[in-house]
Amino acid sequence: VTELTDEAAQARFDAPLADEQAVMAMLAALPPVTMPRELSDSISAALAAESASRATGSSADSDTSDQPLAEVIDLSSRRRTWVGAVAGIAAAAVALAGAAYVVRPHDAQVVGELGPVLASGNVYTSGQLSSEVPQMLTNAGLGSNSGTNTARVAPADAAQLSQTFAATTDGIRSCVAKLGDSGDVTVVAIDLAQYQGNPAAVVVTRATGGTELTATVVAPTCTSSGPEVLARTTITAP
Amino acid sequence: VVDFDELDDRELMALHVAGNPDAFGEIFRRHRDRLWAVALRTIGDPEEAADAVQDGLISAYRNASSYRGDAAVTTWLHRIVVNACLDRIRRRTARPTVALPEDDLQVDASRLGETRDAMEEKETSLEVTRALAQLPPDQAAAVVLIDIEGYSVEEAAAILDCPPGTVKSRCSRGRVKLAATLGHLRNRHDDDGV
Repeated sequence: VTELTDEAAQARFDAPLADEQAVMAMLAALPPVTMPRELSDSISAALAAESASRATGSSADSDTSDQPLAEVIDLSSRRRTWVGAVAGIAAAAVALAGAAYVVRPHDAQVVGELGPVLASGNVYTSGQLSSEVPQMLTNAGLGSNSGTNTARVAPADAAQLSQTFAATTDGIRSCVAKLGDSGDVTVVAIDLAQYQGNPAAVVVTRATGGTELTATVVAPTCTSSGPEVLARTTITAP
Repeated sequence: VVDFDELDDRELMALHVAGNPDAFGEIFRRHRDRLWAVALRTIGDPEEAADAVQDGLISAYRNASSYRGDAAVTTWLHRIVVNACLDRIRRRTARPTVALPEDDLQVDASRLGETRDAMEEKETSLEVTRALAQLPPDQAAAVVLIDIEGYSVEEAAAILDCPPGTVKSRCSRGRVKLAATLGHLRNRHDDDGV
């Protein structure tokens, strides 16, 4: 194809030839695409992590790198899920596109019995959650290979629960509903511990029908109005 | 409690800059499908498009204070995401020749049923997408914005940060190349009365 000069190309834009008009018709007739829900959820989580970073004063705005400061859902580990599951996502995505805008972040519905609230004493660290949380679950007897004699993580007592969202079931449901999950989730466990040396809670959830777990680190006072997500990652169930 | 439904994009941006934790999320929800469509069509690869959209939105979140209000918020967001796409395309040595597995295009089934056999439309869509992926990135972006997403030349120029005449020439050159690549589809299209 001979490259048009700038002048000729601009003129052709206003008076396209028949072949080009046919191309324009084909392009205009392409079916619409909607953002896959998994991707939308991942970006929402990344933005929530940014918001948490801003709220805790870690100043995402001053960071000049291209990477989010907080640990967020790893897109690379989830791509295959949404790329491969597009057929199932399509209907939901199309429905979502036609629905009224959601005013607030997705409200996940907590289903089933709530998992235990633990006090592992762990000091979780950024970048290590994907190994530290499964180990905690295994130690708590919540792993598939934990057996019955390996529950080395104590449940939280009244003093530890006080002043935290985990003191009541309503507090847990209210917090979990705002963590960025969508659809139904089960609370596998909550660990009242530390993150980066500060008091925090690790909320481990599983989406209904899902196999992976999501570990979300929140401030101990997590509420529906201020979830304060400090970090978030997907993990493989131990 | 702020009712976001009552706010336009500029007001949401102002809220975000002022520290509201949810305002930017609402902006994202309003524009995500169009941003995704532009990224996917421009970059041609769903994984890279996903990364570009996420990178662009995080960048927009962090640099919201640089938004001066001289363009619509959606134009500003598109500019950031399109730039993220073009940066990714330029960084790689070759664009994929087979960009999208067929399921990566989420087809509105109801719309398919209105026009022609679903399989044929899907095939056409894939061929067009592959042809777009072969265009120089600047031309692909112009074609996507003008001929697929329906932006005006002036809007596309604002998104691409170039003069309107440049948008026209890029788009026109892209159309010429696409016409050569997709000529075999024209008969099918004509047969269907388009």
